[in-house]
Amino acid sequence: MTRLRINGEEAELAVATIAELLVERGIDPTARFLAVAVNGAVVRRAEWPEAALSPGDNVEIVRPLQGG
Amino acid sequence: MSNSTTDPLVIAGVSFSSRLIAGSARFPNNQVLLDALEASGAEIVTASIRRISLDGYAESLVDLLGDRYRLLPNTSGCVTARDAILTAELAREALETNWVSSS
Repeated sequence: MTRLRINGEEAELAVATIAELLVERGIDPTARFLAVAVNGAVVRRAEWPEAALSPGDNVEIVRPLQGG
Repeated sequence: MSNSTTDPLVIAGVSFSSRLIAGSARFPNNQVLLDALEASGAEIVTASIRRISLDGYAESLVDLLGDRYRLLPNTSGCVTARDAILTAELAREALETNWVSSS
């Protein structure tokens, strides 16, 4: 299990990569208009299947919405 | 109604016939937003970058707008320079654009 902070919420999950995290959260990693940052740095979509998550990582998952 | 002009607006090599950049916030519902955008003739529509719901991904109106309009992300809601820069970088990844506005 990996303890993560995801969009501001603590969670302990059995996921090893960003792609696995998205699937675990019911988010299709191939969905358009998604972006992910780990510890304040953007992780490119192509890297999601391999990008390893470590305990304590702060993950932000965002997408565009109406606004601005 | 049309804002078409023979003098196009060109931004970074991309040509627009309308000079209007339409906001997408604070419409009472999605249909009003869609109707307003259609009537305005705008080709560029603002978008904010927000955390997704952890309950799962549901298609948002922006998924639809993205096929018809050029979405212009902004950094609204950011309170620090670091936040604004990260949001702009996330917007670049999410929308595959180097364009960003601050507001």
